[in-house]
Amino acid sequence: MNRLAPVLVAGLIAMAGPAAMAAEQAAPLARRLPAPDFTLPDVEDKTHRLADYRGKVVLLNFWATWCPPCRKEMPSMQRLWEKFRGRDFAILAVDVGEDEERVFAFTLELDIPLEFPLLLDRDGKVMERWPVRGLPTTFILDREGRIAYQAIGGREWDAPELVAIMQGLMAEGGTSDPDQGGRPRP
Amino acid sequence: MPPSPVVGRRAAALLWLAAALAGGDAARAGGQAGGGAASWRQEAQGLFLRLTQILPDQLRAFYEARGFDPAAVERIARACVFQTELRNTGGTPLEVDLADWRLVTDRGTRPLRSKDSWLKEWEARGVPPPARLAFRWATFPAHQVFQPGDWNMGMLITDQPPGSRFDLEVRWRRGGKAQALVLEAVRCPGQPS
Repeated sequence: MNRLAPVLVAGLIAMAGPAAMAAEQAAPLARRLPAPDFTLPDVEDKTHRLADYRGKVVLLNFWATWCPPCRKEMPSMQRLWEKFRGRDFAILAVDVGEDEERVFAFTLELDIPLEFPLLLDRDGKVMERWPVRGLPTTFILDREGRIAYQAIGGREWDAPELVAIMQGLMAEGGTSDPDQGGRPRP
Repeated sequence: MPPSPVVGRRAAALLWLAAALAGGDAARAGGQAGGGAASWRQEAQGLFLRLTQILPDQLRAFYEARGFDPAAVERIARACVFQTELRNTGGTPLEVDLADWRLVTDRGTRPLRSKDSWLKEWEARGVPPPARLAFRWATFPAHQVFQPGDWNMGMLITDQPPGSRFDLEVRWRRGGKAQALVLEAVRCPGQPS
């Protein structure tokens, strides 16, 4: 039973109901605010600093292995990662309150390997500095390191509407004035 | 060889997780969502809400694995907890504050106990910080703004007796206007004592 459980979970995830497949959208922020910087280790103990990703569009996801919608959206994040491989795009998935063993065990249950960094916010201190009320919550950062969109709840991240958001942000050249709200560079 | 109780509980937790994900098609008001858990759902004025019983053994498996001591595990296992899914299916933002929700029982009407109040109890009982962190994020957010398309899942702890019934008055605000729905005759898991 224990060995079959991940298979059973995967099968039932594939059968998730229509309510879990609502229109995919992310909410644009009326005013793009600077993303709070952080430095966190990933599951391979490599350190990542958010500010080092300036110049790229970043999908920043807060999640946990026990959170059903978090688990469900992970494969679509991997597909998005593959779609934009080699472009100015990054995904950082920040697990909250768990250790590398538990996160690693979760990755083994997936049919698709996750190639983007899985960061560990073991004590939740980083997440407290972000406007997160529940898991999963995802932020999309523009090239200037500002929060441009947010999405509460799971998504199919390779859905055309969301892919278009990433492409739109990547097409932006950034701004010379951070107070100009994401206006593309002339 | 029969599975050990711990393995059995882990399997039960996984089944609950799967049922929570798969319940979309199967669940009806008062229906079975899977694993013997009943589910209630309703949609009104652009808000979809589904409550699914989390059975005591499922709660024990979840909180034991996250460092709750046996007494604290037993406290929450008997607290009538529901996996709660809320979606904004409307076209404008909506604001939810659990302090506005009410449990209507044959003993009267009362608000839900707040997440902060539970966290204080866990701290007083000596539940370690990582376990309290898991509780905090596994519990449905106390206050949240849902943009169109946003949704969330989390545990709603009613702290009602096993087997008891209640109506849940659900209130939210959209565009400054108060809106509401009622989930009727929701039943706590377990047998009345």
